Amino acid sequence: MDKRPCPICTRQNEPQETHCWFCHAELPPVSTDQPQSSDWLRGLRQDQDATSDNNPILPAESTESNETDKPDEFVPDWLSRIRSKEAVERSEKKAQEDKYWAEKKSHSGVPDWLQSLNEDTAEIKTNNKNDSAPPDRNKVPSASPIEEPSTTSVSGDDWLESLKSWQSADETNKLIQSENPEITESPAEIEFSPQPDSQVSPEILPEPEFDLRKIFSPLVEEPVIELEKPAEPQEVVLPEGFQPFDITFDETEIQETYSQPEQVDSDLSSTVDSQPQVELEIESAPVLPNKNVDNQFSIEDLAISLEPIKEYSSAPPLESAQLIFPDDQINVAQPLDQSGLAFLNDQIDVTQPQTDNQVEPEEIIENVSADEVSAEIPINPFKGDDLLLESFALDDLPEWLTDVKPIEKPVKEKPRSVTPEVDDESPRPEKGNLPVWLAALRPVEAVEMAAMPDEKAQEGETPDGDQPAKVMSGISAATFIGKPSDLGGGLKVSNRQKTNAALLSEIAANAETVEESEKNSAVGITNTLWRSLLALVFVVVALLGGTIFNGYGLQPALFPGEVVHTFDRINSIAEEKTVLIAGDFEAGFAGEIRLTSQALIEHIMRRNLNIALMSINPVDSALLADQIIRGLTFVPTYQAVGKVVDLGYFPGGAIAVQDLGNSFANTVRLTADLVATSSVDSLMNIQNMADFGAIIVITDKAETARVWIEQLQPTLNGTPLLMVTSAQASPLIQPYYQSGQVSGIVSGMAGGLVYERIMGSAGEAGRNHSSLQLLSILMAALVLGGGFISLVKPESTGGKRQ
Amino acid sequence: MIPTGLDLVWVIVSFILTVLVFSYFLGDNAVYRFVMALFIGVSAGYFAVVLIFQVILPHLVVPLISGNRLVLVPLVLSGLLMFKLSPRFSRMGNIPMAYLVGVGAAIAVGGAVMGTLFGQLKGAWSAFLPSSGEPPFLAYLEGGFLLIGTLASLAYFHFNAKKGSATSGKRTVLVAIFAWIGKIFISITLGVVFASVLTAAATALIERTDFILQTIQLLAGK
Repeated sequence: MDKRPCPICTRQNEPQETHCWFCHAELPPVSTDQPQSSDWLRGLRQDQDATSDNNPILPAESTESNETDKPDEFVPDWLSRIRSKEAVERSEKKAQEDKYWAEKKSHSGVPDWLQSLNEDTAEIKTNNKNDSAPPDRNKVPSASPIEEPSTTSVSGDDWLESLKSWQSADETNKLIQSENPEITESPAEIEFSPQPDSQVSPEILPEPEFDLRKIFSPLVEEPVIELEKPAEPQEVVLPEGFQPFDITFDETEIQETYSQPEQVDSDLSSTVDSQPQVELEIESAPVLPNKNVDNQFSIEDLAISLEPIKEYSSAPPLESAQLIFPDDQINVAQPLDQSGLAFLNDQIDVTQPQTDNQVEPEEIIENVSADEVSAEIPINPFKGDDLLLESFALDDLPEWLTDVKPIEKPVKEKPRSVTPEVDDESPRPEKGNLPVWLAALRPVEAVEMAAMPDEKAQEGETPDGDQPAKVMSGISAATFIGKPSDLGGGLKVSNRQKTNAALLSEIAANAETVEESEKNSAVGITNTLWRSLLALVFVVVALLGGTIFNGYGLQPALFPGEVVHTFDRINSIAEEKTVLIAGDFEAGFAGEIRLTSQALIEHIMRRNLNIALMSINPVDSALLADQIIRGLTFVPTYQAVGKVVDLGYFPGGAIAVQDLGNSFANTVRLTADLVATSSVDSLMNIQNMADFGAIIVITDKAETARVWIEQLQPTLNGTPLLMVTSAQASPLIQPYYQSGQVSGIVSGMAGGLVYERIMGSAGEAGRNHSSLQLLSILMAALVLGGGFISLVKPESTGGKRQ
Repeated sequence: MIPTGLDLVWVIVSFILTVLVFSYFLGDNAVYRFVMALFIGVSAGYFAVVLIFQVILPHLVVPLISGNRLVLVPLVLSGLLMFKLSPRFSRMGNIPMAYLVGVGAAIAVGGAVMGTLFGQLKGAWSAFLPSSGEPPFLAYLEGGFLLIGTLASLAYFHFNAKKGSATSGKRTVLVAIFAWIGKIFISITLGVVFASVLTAAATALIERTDFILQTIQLLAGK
């Protein structure tokens, strides 16, 4: 029978094997009859192979897998991930299957195939039937496709005797046994599970307990099991005869296992499957470039190569399936080396490249995330320990393996560090040369993400070379999550769209420029023109009222009561009394205040009353003094030097006013010339505010007037409180006059004009009265005109729309 | 009186500055900004001189020299107020600020109650009292009009409503009527205030134009 090449590692395998002995890859089914092997084990395998061929599932699955995996087929990312996960699941199933068969074999201490060969199968089955009934959960439905045929009855007296002759111990195997204490473990620890074969119908009877196809083809049977139990994905219902993981190998079984290379490997895989990392290493064999593997193994190499296997078996996590190497087993290994090394060498001899069943490793890495790669990338099992590499002579190593440095322990801990090495001379993926237009369209974040792993690689996180680092960079880029810095980089814009966009942007730019410039210029010119025009009109009207139209103004026929009362109060003040004039207005209203209060001040001067000037605003003292000076022009007989006292600036606002109401003598101790108020003749007899003949407050704001009224009026005890205010404060002070809190008000230039008329003098207010009337008419016209336009055309004035 | 000598110089300077301020009619310009900066600077300088010579010296330094230790209290408070200039120690200035704000608030509230509230109540009542020679009917009419206007204006700012009523959120009929009347009074009042403001501005313009005209006449020798 011709040897079957592995589609993955291209090594030659025995024709009856379903999986590669080296890489565990699934071998394609053999349709033609294969020649008989002269080896006794091959004959046995042939028989078992014939038995396993009765199962129609395996060829079908293999054929299907071959059909789907074609060479040079483009495998998308999702498919590669699915395949990787499927491989992992299959490996797990394989481990369960191995444990199942290990349990089966440990049931009686003697494999069933051996029992059948001893022609005592029927009797043993009867005994097993009476042992114990299997639990219900292990029952396999009758419709289960896992139908294991009955064991084949093969007469094996000859090979049994030859098998017994292999029971002699070998020194090499003894050495291995001495290094692994687990090997000498007592067989009493091995648990036996009952074999309920008799309760199963012939259709659902399991396969021969030592069916190699069953052992090495769990990947094929797994989907069938999943189809059986769709409702309970978590709990795997094992068929009869299956046992949980808590089993150990039988000593004799391991003997048999070790006597056959395939079984050793299968047990090893079942043992290693309990450890994920080891599992990865076992499955990494297919991805190794193995073109130039030198297959000249020596017996020492093989012996040393088994050491890590024993180490794995002795590891603490491997409780489910401990690998035990008893003395008998080691004895069996001796003839295996004799007869099987040639077989192994033949298997390792690789002459064919990788076939379609395996996806390119770089392709896998590029299409999956880093985590998936770390969990699914097949890893070279020989890189797991230095001893493995040291056992191979450098001359025997293939070219691709000579570049591999001894695996460092820290590197082994990191999943990325065990990325398969690639020969420098081997073809590498050519660096992409994108056209200019495509490079320009590439998103910026793609370039940035690609640069990130390169930096890490430079830092030593990926010491396996440039190529793996570049490959991993793609993985990191795929898993990088961030805000795209240029969302429009990958947009596909046609020429027509570009043309339309350019046209639209040009139109918008022109529109904005023209509109803004025109709007700004138009608004600026319009505002300036309107402001200049109105100012010019107002100035012209004011000048005309003071010149041409002077005297045409309407003279007030009726005098307001508050002004008359003010005049009366001033006239009623005794001559020895002092009038306090308190200025509390801003300098900007000095002109209006002067037109308003000038007649009143002249009236006081005409009465030759003492005047005390006080300012709450620092500039008011000077402005009031200026008005006194102006009044002297009309009242030259007034002795201002002795009659007028400047008390200066009095800070404090409302607090100062309230303090004044409490005690004037204690509050105002000095004049502006730093003279004591008690030494001034006009202030000598004044202790409180009520001692003044009148208090005249000159202010431009209603709030200031209200403070004076509120704080000072209750303390005056009948002393008149007069207000000379700006026109804007008059309406709000009028209620205080109505209530009697304020004795009189002279408000604005109109009040000053009335006061002048009462006094019979011609002052500045009378001269400018015409101007005020003209401007009042003009302002009223503008207000009415603006209100009418706003009423007729609201949008023109920017008013709110109803 | 015709100014002569230094007064004439200041009159000319005032005339020029007034004309420069009027340049604002043509829009904001450097000349206008210069005049405004000059005005602010002169005012600040004048304020400083006034404060030093009319406040600090007579009310702080002189009493301190004369042995009045009571002025140490405002001196310390003023010194603490200076810490407001430093962000690090500005909390030290909170003491005099608290004193000023507290005293100012107390005075304002007391003055409002005693001066405005009681004073206006008295005034509203006295409006019904006829003055000498005045017919009582007119006094009642005037007083009633004033009372209605006051109540209506207060009703306009009455925003309360009955709790849980179906017309929650709406004024009662009586309050709504008074509020509508009060809106009229308030509108008239605000219109008068607006007119008064315009009158004040027009008066300032008239005063300046009269100054310009007088100066021109002075310079022209008329």
